Amino acid sequence: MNRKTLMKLSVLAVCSALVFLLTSGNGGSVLVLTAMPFTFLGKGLRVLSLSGPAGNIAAIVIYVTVCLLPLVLILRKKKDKEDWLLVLGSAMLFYVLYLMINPGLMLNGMSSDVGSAILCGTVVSVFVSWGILKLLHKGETMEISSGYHALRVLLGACAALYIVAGFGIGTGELKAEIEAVRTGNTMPGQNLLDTYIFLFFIYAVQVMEYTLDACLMILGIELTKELEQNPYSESCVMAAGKMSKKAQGYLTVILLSNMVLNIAQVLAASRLYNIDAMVRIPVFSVALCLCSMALTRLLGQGKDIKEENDLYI
Amino acid sequence: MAIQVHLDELLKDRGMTAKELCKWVGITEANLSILRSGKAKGIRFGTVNKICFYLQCDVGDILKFDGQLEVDEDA
Repeated sequence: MNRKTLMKLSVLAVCSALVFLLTSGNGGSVLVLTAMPFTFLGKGLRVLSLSGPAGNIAAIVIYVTVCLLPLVLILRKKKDKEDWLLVLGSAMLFYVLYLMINPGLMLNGMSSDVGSAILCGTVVSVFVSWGILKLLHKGETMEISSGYHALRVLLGACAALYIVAGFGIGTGELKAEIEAVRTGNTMPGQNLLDTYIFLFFIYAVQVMEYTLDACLMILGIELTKELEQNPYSESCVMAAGKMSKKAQGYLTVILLSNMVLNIAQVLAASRLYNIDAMVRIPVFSVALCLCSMALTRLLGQGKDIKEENDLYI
Repeated sequence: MAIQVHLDELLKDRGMTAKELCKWVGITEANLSILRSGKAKGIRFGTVNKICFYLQCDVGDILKFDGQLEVDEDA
């Protein structure tokens, strides 16, 4: 990983940690953040609608236009199967945006911020699913260079998300858990220090896991550059080997730290006021490591076949 | 090699340089060098066809069998 990338990731880590620390954010607040465009639009249309007859008509026009926007993509001549998801997205937009404009009509339990965030998150999930399915479909016929470019963007986005998830959401959740332990255990004589230390230990392990996986994705980006230049070259096989070695090292560290965390929790259970009910097994890191090992072997075999093929004149 | 490549003699007879042959046949000089040195594992029908055409010779003029059985190391 070069210094520039490391710098970018560090800045992202510090910024996301600060944002989630200062705004008391957690995983739920990310959902609320996702819903923000819908809630803002709903509130704006409500204000516009109540401003008078002309405002009401304008609000209806904007509402219908926004909800029909996804269907513009279906009107194109060349449609893919996944494009029909946009019809569902459009219908859901009509329903959810109507509820955002008229929050009084929302069902019980959906009226809170988190409730509306879940509704809007459902709409977003339809469009995200459409986007991913589209990418998968296009990936089959995409030119090789465009495919590598798309892969680089995807890996970069995943690495950034992992950093935000680790340092941002993780920090917010650590703060919330420390607060919950502090406010829920006010009896005199209770020693909460062990619990705080343990919470920080869990946080450190989670952050490390996310960071190492993000580093692996950055190495993946470097590998795609080599693959684009020449997938049969020695440098490409070496880059894949380097990634595979690091993946194995990272996985060892992640597995051991998770194991230590699980054992430490059992040993210190009597002194802890907060128990993490999850037994941690880093499935994603394992999958990432196995994929990089398989890729290295495959590239090595490809290079050998190419070298042999070059001896056929 | 049990199969010997006799390109050098043919080129000399025809008064053609290796560079010229590469240009006509459409292979690199490095590949022709591999072929001439006997390090090539195989030769494509298309390449033989072009070499025979441009050197006006038969396949047997390029490749000759020395009567020995060579054990394939990769087999």
